[in-house]
Amino acid sequence: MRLTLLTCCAILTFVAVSTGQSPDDDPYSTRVVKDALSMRSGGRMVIRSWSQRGLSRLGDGVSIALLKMLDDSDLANPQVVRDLLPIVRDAFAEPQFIAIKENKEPKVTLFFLGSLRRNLSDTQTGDLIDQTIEYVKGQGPR
Amino acid sequence: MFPSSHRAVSATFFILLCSSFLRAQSAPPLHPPNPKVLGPAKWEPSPQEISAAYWTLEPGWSTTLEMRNNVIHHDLTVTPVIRASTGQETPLAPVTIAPQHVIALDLRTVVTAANRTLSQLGSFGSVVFRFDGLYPDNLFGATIVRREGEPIDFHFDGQAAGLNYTSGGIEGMWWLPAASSADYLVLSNPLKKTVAGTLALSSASASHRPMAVSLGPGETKRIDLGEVLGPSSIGAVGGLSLSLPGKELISATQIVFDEVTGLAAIMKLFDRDPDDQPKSRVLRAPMMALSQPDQGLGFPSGTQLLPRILLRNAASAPTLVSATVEWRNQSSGTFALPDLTLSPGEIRTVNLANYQQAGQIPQDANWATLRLAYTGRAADLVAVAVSYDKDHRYGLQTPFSENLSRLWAGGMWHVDPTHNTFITSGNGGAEATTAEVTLFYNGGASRYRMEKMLSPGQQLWLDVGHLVHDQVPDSDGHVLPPDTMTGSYELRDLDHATLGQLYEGKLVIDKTYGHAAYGCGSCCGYDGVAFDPTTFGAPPGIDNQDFIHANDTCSGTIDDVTGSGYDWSSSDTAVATLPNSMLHTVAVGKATGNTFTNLQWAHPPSCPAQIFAPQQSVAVQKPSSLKVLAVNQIPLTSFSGCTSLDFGAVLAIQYQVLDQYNNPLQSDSMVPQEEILDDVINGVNYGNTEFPWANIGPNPGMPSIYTSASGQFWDEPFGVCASSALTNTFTQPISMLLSGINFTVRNNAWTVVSTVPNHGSITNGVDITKSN
Repeated sequence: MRLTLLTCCAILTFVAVSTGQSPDDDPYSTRVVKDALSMRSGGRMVIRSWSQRGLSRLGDGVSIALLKMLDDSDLANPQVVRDLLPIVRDAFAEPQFIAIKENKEPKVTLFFLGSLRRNLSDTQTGDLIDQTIEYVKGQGPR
Repeated sequence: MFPSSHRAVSATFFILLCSSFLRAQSAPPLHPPNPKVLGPAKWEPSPQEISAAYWTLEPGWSTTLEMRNNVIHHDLTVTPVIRASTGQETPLAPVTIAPQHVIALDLRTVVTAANRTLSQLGSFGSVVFRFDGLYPDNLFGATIVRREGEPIDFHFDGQAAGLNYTSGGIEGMWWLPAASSADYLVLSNPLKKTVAGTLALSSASASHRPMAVSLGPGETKRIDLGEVLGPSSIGAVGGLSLSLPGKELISATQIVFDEVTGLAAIMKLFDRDPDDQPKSRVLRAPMMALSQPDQGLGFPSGTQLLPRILLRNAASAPTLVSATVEWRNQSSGTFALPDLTLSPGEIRTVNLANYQQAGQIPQDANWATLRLAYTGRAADLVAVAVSYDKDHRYGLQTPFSENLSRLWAGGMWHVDPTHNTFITSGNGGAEATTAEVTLFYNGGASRYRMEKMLSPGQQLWLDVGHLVHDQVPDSDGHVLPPDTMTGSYELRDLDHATLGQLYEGKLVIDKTYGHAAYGCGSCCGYDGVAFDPTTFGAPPGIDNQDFIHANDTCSGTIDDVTGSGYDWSSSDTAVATLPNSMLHTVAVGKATGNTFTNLQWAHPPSCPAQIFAPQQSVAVQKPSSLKVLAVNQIPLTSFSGCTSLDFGAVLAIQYQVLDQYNNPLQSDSMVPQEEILDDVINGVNYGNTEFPWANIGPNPGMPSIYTSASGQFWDEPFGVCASSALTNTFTQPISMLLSGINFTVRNNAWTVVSTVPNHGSITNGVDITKSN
């Protein structure tokens, strides 16, 4: 799974850079995703407007940021997965604000969530992943 | 950008003597594009009035009031006010006139029992037409004074009067053709103050002492020149000068009539302009009847007219006059008379019949346009064209005028079994042009349009009766309904729409008595010439298409005359450039945009060419601060993932970007950005949680990353939502990214406190505080 995810990450790295939309020092928007994740971990939830705004412009790019930030152990940790799922949702919550047209389509995200789903045995988390997959599909371009 | 203004009050001013401006000018474009009519000017009417010199209801006389609404989009409600010779005013019932419509009121009919004194013996005076409009030129008003049962009538066209206009005096000629003739000089004072002057009459046979003339407010004086001059002046022509040391523009007209012979002539008076300078001038009389009258005039068969030009040199030096006769019958041609040199004060009569008898002008030529060229000031040459038979029973007189115009708004035409109307327009310019005559009928709602290309000197001639009776199709294939009897008209120069070349004339023929009366239209000029926008504010690096707008004072429309602008410039090219109508902002600061445009100016009683110099205030702005326009506290659920059980506070804030002068910076090119620094939650410092700058938009309150056209934006939603109680402090610098430069415009120091679910307060400690 790790190899597959890294291949995917490499492809979309190229996409993200070529659009030139991200700040030079944070081309994958990991800062906003990291901030959001830190504010939603450990059983607490703090949502701030600037973080929410940043996420809403990422769309499919959120999955690349998550892959950049998290390692195999994080991705296998049901708690971490439960923490990141709302962030994925937020990234697709306002499709009209997604900055890069290609990121409106959740190709990477569906692949990413599918991989998480296959890799986790925890049923409760699996259900949350399924709900997130359905949500993201429902927010995609029509 | 600052709001623009179309108002007449603008930065427009006139350059006349300023040599520094003159040095800067290049020539106006020879063939500017035609103005575009942008639409009706904003209807912000103010009291206007025009006055006509004379009415009378003395026994045997009648008066008709004629009013035409020149405004194309708005009714005019006009109150005719009859001024007795003493100046006492009697308002008549107001009348509402539809656009382009013309109405006529018989004064005797509308005079009610309450003001019957107006029809008593000796009653005469002037008429004021009062209305609420944009300009006096919105209305054409005239009086037609008739001797009942005689071929005697006169048209007195109204003109704007007021303190804005000045006169340098009046020049004319008196004429007493026979012992039974009367020559009335009618002077009326439209002002609310007394006007004093001196009347000097001259003749070859006697000397006359100058008369002091004083007119109280609204007063009319009718001076019987036959009485003043005495019997020795019978059969003679002499000079008339009225000096007005106060430079007030009074209304003056002179009529000659003979109840025995039926003669009726207006001896046109010429106004001096106090600011006038000597220059080459051309006077034209467009409808002079030659020896053999046109059958359309309805004179008895065999009538022979004696066409004459009466000339007077009112200058203090000899004046050389070059006269040409542009004649027409079935064909047309031009005959140049030998040059004339008139001594100061000299009066000379030129008999055109002699040239017709000699064959230099065809004997069967019916009509002529007379053209007199001289060098001097306006009214230095006084000229009147008269053409009557030897008994002064049949004939007509046509006035000379120097005026050429882009647009003439005419009065009423009549076609019925006893009336006909001739309308003419000629090209007085040096190049060909297309003239358009439009006849309005059916209450002004329908129109009949004729278009014709005219070579220099060429004339268009419409016999309206022929058009109606013979169902002649117009340029669009329409015909006038056979029962059409009256309407109004206008003449338009289609190829020279800013500085026109057309002259005009109208003859209304009354076949009952075999008489024709001349009527004039009003020239239509421009006023309120201004930049659009008159003030412009924008950040550096912006291109803006400037326009020059001008008010058509007759029709009440705004015309785009940008194409006639020339010599565009900026007072400081380091701030803004204006090489043509495209303004470019360069750097922060202030500058003035300038241009020139040569247009016909609405300047009663004429429409002279005038160089207007509108100006534009340019402020090149930089984003400097934000003004809070609105603050709304919105539900926590504005954040996805938050519920009413959570803690925090969320706002929607609307900001206006201000420039360095605290004026709104109305630009849609700015990108609002923010940073979040020193983010402390419940005592834990998370550092700079948004850094460097990130766009505030798009968000639910702003559809793009840019400010709106008015330079406004929404920060929405803004705030914090948390699953537990919190105190959150942070700073939020806001900047505007513009042309690659980031301008910091605000630094909010926020405190959010929430200890109860769904309740919280948020403040920046300055101008935003909300809690619920």
